[in-house]
Amino acid sequence: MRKSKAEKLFTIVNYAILIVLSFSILFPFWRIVMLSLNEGIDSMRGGIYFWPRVFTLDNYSVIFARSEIMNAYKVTIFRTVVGTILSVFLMSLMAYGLSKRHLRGRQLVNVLVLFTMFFSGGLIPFYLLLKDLHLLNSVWVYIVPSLYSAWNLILFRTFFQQLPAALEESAKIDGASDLIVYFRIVVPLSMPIFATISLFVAVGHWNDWFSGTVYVRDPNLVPLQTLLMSIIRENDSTKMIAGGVADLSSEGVRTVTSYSVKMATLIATILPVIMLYPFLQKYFVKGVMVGSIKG
Amino acid sequence: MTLLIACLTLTLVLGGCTSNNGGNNAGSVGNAGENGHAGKSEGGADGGDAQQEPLKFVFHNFSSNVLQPNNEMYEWLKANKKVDIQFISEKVGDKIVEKLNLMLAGGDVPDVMEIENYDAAVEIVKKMGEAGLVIPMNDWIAKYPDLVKYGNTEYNNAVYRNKKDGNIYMIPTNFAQHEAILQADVGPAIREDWLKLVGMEAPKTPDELYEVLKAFRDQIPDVNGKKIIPATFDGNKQGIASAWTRSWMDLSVENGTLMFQWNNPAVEEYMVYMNKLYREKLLDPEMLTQQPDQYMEKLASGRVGYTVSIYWDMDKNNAALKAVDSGSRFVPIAPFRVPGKPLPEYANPSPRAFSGIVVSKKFAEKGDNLVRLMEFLNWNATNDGARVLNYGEEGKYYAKNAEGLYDMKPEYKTERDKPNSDFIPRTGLGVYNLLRFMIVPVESVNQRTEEAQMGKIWEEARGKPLPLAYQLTTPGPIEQQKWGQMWSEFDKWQAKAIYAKSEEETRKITKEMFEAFETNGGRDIVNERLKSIQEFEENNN
Repeated sequence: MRKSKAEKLFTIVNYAILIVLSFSILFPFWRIVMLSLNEGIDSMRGGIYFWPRVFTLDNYSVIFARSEIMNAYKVTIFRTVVGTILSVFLMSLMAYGLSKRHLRGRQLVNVLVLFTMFFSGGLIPFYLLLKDLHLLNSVWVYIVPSLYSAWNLILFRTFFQQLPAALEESAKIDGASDLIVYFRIVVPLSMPIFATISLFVAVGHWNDWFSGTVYVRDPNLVPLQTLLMSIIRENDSTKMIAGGVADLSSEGVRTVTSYSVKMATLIATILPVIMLYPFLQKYFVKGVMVGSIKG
Repeated sequence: MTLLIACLTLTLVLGGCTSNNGGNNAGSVGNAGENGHAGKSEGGADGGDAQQEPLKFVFHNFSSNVLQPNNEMYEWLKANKKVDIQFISEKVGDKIVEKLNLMLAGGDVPDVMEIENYDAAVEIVKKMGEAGLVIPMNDWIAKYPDLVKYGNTEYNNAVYRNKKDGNIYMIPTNFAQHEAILQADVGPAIREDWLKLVGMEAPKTPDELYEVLKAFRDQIPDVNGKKIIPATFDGNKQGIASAWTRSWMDLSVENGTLMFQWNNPAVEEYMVYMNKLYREKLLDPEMLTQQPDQYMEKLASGRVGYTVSIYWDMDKNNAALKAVDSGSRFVPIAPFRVPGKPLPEYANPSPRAFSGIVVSKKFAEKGDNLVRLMEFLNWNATNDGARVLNYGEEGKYYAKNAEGLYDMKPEYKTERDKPNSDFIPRTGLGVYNLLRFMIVPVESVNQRTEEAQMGKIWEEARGKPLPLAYQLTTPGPIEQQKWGQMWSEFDKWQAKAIYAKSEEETRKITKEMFEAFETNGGRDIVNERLKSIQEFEENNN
């Protein structure tokens, strides 16, 4: 069907706006990549936009030449993978149960879960609890406390409630138990919500730096974000402001700066997440309407 | 029914937590060996071989670099000083207060801990002392006074002594702001190559600076197609204002007067001067609105002629300038001074200690741990001890130069300065100086760059210590609430006054500023602080 002039004009303007919008979103990220590949001292002069002026990998070697970095990656990957799988599995099971109206005590459990969304004991009671559970200074401190999230639980529950009851009933008539119904019928139909929650949880694990700061002392258990934060601080000359003992190795001027190391750190942090995203994208397209329509 | 069950459950949970807390009260000291591979605290605690076995303890630090487990200094100390120091470094940054609170709540304090002396951190240590988690250091400081050799007793008592029980629970360390140690770090800096180009001397007075900046404006060509900026400043423009006001604050305890720069009448002439520079296009119009990285970018780009800078920023900018033209650099010049007025003060020495050492009660109560630890620290507080801890074994890494100053040998300097060098983690040099003890007079070569060393010229702008009455009185509620606001307000008024169209307008705006500070909290801050100072004087006289 031939397009009218107005439609063609609309298409052109539409594409132009989208290109500008895409550029405005992508360019800052591209610039961060370029700054991370440019010598830090040279970057200070400004003028780095599309290409590095003095190409270097020094900013990355500051991070990756550290002996602790591989350990930190292992800890973070472990907690992200194991934490996400366990968390999603356990939350989905609980949410499935809570989605059944015939479950006794369902209201009470819902209230208790909701309660935790609004109130918490605070940092010190939480720390004491972790201590009593012997989770401090253990890799499980990153996983166990965050297995259940009220918000994600509610998202799961809402999604499960939308699934046609007839599907489950017909499976039950054929003799399927609740668990078989869950694994064989509910889970395959719920891939959008599983993907969405998995990404929320995985990103939360990946980005978390606080737990590694306060709950862990063993340097072998420090996760990536906590380590990267400390690397940035080491390269920040403002630590000299206290007039404290000069770190002899930092009195000389180096080509990396705090800013350039920050840029490299950003890339090292988000690159794995960006690489994972294309595999989950199709589920997000379906998952956009999660919880929005009641059947 | 649901609500009733929910309330019952909640009650049970709360009851359970309360009974658990009885078992975990703050009097029970945590096991410092919870630090994983770092090892447990032991020591010559069990008779017989007490003197033969090294004293083993965990030293917990929140800011140093991670060391290799059996680094050279660790081995040397174990063999020669009979101390086995398990060094743990946790970089918690601004979460140190949370971390200390958790230690206090959990009763889990490392054997020996170094903390940075934020006010909040000091208060938590006092609470640890009250809870019986850490030991008082009063008697040990009295026995080994060299531990706080460069401190001030009155200052230490006011800051570290717990008012409830009169004990001091930490050994103050790192007196880097002591008069004998403090180096000049900040001051005016100018482009040496530009000065040569215009054939002028480094300016010292407002009139001289004005002439030099005019010469820059008229004679220095554009840089990469962009106009040059004769002068720009960041927050350190305070150094220019200090030429009129002497310092950011002016306290006279005798006269009972206190002025900050925003309510000091002398600041009017500063505003008039800066306005003149602005109107004649000698001052960066973005000076008061630019971000720090924009400021640094301008300096590094080679477009700026004059500024007031901290030496390490100056070094970074110089590295960028020299990468393009080896003859370009900023150099420190003499403090900017108004004839007839006192020298400005860019820095003030202080008896303040930047960190402190805390010893856990659990560690101290075992055998002769504490005695041996204090003997070690007392050795640390000697020049010989500090020398070994900073430079290593005599002649190995450092040699004395012709002037008798310790200088690192070139091959080790190269190794140390490599990116990601493991020199310090491998050798442990400087890290085991637990007291951060500094040898006075300095007996090592200044490690700073050539330009930073030229900052010696700023020494004459090093003022006297601020009156103890000011240092030792804490901000009241009004000051705590409005302090930051006042300086932001001052910047806004500077923007109006400096960017005014005429001198008359500048003076008018400055007067309006003084009136505004009388009512927007500025006067209240001054009155509140003066009252605290007066009470302090009465209590201490």
